[in-house]
Amino acid sequence: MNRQTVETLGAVGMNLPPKRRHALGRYGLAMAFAIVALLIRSALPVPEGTAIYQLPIVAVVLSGWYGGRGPALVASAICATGILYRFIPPAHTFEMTPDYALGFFIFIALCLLLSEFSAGRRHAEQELRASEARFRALVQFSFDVYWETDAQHRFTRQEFSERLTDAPAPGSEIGKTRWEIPYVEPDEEAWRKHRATMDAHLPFRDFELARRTADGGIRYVSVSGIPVFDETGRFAGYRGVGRHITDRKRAEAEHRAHIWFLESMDRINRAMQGTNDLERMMGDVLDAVLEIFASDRAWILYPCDPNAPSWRAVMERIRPEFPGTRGCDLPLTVDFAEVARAALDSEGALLAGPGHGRQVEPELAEHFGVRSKMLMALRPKGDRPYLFGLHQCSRPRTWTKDEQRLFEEIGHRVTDGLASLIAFRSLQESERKLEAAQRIAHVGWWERDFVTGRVSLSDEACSIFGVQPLDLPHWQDRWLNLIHPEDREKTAAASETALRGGPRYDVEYRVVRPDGTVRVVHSQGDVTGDESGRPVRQFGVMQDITELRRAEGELRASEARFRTFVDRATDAFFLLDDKARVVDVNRQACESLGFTREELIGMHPRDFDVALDEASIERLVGRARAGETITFETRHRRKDGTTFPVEIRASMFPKDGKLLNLALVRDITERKLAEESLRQSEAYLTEAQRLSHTGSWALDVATNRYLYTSMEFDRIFGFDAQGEAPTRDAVMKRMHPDDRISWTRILEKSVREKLDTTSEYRILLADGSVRHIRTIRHPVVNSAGEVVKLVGTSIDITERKLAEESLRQSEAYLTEAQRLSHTGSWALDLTSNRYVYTSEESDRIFGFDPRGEKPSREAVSQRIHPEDRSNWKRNLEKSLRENVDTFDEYRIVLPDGDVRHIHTIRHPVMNSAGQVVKLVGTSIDVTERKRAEQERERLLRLEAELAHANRVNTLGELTASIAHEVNQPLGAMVTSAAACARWLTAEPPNMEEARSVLEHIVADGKRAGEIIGRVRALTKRQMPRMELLDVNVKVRQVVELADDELRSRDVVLRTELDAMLPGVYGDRVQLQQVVLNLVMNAIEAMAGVVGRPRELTIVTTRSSASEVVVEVRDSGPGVAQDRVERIFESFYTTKPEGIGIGLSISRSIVEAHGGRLWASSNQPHGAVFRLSLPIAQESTA
Amino acid sequence: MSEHAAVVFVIDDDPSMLRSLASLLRSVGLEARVFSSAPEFMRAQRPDSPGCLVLDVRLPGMSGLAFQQELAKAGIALPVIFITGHGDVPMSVRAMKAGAVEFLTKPFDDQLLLDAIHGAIERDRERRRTAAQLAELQARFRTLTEREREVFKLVIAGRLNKQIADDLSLSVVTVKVHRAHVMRKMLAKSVVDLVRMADQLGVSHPS
Repeated sequence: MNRQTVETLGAVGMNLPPKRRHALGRYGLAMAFAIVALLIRSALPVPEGTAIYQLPIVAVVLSGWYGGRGPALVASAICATGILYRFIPPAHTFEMTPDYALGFFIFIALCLLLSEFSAGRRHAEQELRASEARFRALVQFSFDVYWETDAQHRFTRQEFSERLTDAPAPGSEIGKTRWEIPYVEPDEEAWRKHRATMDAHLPFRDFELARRTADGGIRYVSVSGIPVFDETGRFAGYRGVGRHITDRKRAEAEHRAHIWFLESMDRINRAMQGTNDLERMMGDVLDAVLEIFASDRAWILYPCDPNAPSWRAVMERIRPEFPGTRGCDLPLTVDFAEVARAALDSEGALLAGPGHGRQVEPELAEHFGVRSKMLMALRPKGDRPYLFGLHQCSRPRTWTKDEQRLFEEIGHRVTDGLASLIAFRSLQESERKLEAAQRIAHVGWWERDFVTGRVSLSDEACSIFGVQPLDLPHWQDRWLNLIHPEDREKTAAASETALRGGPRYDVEYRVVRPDGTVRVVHSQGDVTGDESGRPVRQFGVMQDITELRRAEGELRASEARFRTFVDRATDAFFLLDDKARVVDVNRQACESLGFTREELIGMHPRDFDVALDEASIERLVGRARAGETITFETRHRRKDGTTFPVEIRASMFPKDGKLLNLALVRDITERKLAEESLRQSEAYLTEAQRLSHTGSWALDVATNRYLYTSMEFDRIFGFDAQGEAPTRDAVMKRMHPDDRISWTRILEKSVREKLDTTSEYRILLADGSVRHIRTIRHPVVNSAGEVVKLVGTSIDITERKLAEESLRQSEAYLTEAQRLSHTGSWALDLTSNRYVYTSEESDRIFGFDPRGEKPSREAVSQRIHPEDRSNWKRNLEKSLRENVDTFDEYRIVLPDGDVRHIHTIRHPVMNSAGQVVKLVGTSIDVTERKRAEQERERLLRLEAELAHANRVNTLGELTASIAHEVNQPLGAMVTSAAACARWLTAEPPNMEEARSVLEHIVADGKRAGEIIGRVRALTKRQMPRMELLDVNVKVRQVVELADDELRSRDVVLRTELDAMLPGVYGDRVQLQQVVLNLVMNAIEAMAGVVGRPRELTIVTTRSSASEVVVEVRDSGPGVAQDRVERIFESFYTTKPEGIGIGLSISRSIVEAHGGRLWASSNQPHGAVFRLSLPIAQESTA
Repeated sequence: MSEHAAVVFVIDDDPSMLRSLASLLRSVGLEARVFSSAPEFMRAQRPDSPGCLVLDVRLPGMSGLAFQQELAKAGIALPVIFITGHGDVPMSVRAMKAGAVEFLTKPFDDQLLLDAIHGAIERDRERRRTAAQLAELQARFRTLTEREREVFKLVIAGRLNKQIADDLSLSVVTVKVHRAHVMRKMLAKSVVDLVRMADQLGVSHPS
């Protein structure tokens, strides 16, 4: 073969497909073997017998071994041929000696057999290879590892898949048992079970293990194995496969996570779609979140705004052991603000806690026990951001990525939910507002669908028409009927033209509602058509413009009225342009100035203003132009030259781009006069105030400053009249410190209760003097009913106060004097029959309450002893009728039963007409005196008897009398003393009663002493004590003493006492005794008189220049002529029980006085006893 | 019979005596009413309570003794205690015979007076009680019908029912009924009670 051929073969070989190439190789090899064998054979010495065939057989075997049947045959052929040619004799021919034929045919047969075997072997080899390839392929694709262990469970073989990236080094695990390899899973228990299974030589499947990889990850493996037994049935080990299930595990975990995620989201969705109520939605969502994450709190805070002052949990769901905020506002501390900011900055969730970048804020951890938290900001459209979060308190928790992802997804979903709810709410709100807007503006919409023929009206449109929405179905026919008949044609025409493509439907018409009311309606609408231009629908709005039209009408009327008003105004209106030229005037302006309208138009104020100069006018115009409303006074001149004062009010206003000036000119002639007279009045008032020491003022309640103080007020309080108005404080400063509080209180009461009040207080002037001030306040209210100021007067009442004080003092003295003298004074008003004045003592005497109402005449009359009442009444009326002073003595019975004797003197008071309108008088409680007098009377009687005894010396009787008389006070004293002892030993001792009783004892003792004294005096035959006496007084005293007797004996007493009676000298006791004796005799004399009145008359007269005579006349039986002198003898008596000393002693007394006592007959009945006494020559009162 | 507070009436024309007596009576807790004359006392309204009268023998217009008779005539049964500034035996004897509780001369020992007063009040109480009792009995007796009274009288005479029936020509049953009524109306527990009541009332029995 030359190179070219080899190359050509090579090239050809190169271009052959691999299979052909492989076959070429094999055949080539076979040929090569054969040829080599032949060559080698031929090189060797010529063989004999079978040696011929050795090498060629080897060549065939080799060919068959490496190439298979074909090549073996080829090799066989070549060898056979070669052999046949070269080695079988004849050599170099293809003939064969028959001896070698058998050997050759055996060789041929052997070659064929070997070829067949080779083929078979090659086939088997191929099969094995194929099988191994399949096996490997199986291992490659089905398992990651194929393993075999021996009977001790030690690895003998491990075949790893090529796929495995982290297979252990091949052979690293051979010889170890599985449990010697560091697997991190499963646990001891599982291992135990596994080994038990293996020891039991049982097959196992899917035993999962996990080991750590070099990079720190976990690799999961699932192994399965079956036990292998040798031919004897003995356990030889396990063989099995292992699958790396890390991916599967991861996939499973991911799948679980995914499912969890989806389930959680599903729950959240359901929670969100369950309600339209925002609160409920958030609550349900948080409930779900709490469960999903098994956290301790789930909450939503609002607003998530680092600049807000505080935020609040609008919703929270908590586990009961971890209380939440309970809806309180939480202040946004620096930490919280930072959290809010961080949440807003971040797109997703923020995690805090162990294992995360952030820590839980200490405040949170402390107050709420939070150990981990996860939160994110929610930004729903239409509202401020919320903050959504979870707390873990029961244990520190590291949130996983899955959890974070789920949380964020939930956050987004909640955000959507919030956004849609917020949108829903604003939509509702918008709809409500639209509805309200329509209602307020009385606007309704309507729609006509020409296709279906339906008409829709909004509620407002229905109400404009006055129909119920339910009435709509028959609307088309009804509509025209509701329109006012006069407007129907116009409306229908407008509708038609609009539909036909004419002008827009815009029409005003009147509607007659079913209830009869008429409304004016403005309706407009647009028609939309389909492609061919045919109308499909018409949509429009209608508005009830009834009020609008009405208002317009009123405005027009108002304008007309205004025009009339302006023209008829009593003030002059001038309309000037910006150059101050008259543009227009009203009628009054013409009249007041005397010019016509045409004359006035175009005039300048300087034409009729005589007071202002050019410069002032310019200045005023300037101010008005600046927008000020100016007011000023000036004088105007009429056309006829006369001038009058005016007040002008002017302002500028823009109209149509120009500035116009409107001035109101008022003739203030009268006002000026009024002002002048007011000024005069004020001057008079000020003068009056000065004279009466009255100051007036007005106080602003809000500023506590006096808006006005009259001059007198300033003078009183010492303010400077020219100075600033004083403040309330300034006035208070001048006040006496003790009066300030009450003054303030009462003033504030005036303000608060809107009442008039008065105050009295003292002020201290600068010179140190104290003045008394009386202030009267009156609140002034504004239209709102609030008090805006106080007005009032303040009067200097110092003098009055002093006068009052001294009057009070005088009254006090008087009252005291009355009390001491038991004298009460009173005044009885006769028109009302009531006592208009009773002094304290008077009240006390009569037992009335001095603080109570003044008694009536009737009330006093009731107090009077019934027996004395008629007398009292008689005397009182005598005073009234005859306008004379009267006096009375009577008893009164006080409410407590005490009987007092009263002596009253009355004096009538007349009015200007001369009628008696009042009685004034005094009433003296003469009880004590009366008692004393009664006592004296008794003593006198005693004396009389004693005088008798003196003559007769009837010791026994005398003693008896004395004894009896003295026994009275003595007995009383003893009893009193006993009583006193009892009072003192009482429990507790009654000192008051004891004291009172002791006083009685003293009095009684004194009385007893007096009696003894008198007795002694009498027994001593004392000389009479002469003094100047008034006989009338003695007579009256006697009458008093005999009062009881007179009354009880029914004797009528008359006295005729000469008022001009001169005085006499005498012993008052003795004289009284004499007169009493006469009177008592007279009374006793009349004791038996029946059928005629018992009259006792006492007369005192001056009988001559030197004598006074007292006559005692009775109407008794009289004295017989022959007895007239005898009766004066001692012991003479006609009285059955009498003693008969009276008259003789009486006579001797009288004679001792230088007088005479005699008796005579009285006409027509009775006796007259007369006694005369010499007049006192020196009468000095 | 309720226990009214006792009242002591004092009549004396000497005001200081009245005063000291009133003080004395008050000091022992007795209620005193004072009058200076007999007519005043008669005119005044007197409460219906037990009491007694302390009287000066010498009164203006009327002597105390005469007044005592007046009281009796007026049916005023108040026990009377006399006090007097001068006393003599005949006067005191007369007074006591006329039924006065005590006769004291001034000045008297206060304790004697108080004792007398208490005794008098007791007597008056007793008298009132008895009077009230009697009034009660009389009231009860008045409620009896004619027939019942007849039966009453016969019962206290000791007659048997049968005898009474004979006497009045009634049936025994009727008599029994009347008898029962009598016993019930008179509030008698036994015939002996009835007899005592009859004695008190002064009902005589026909015999």
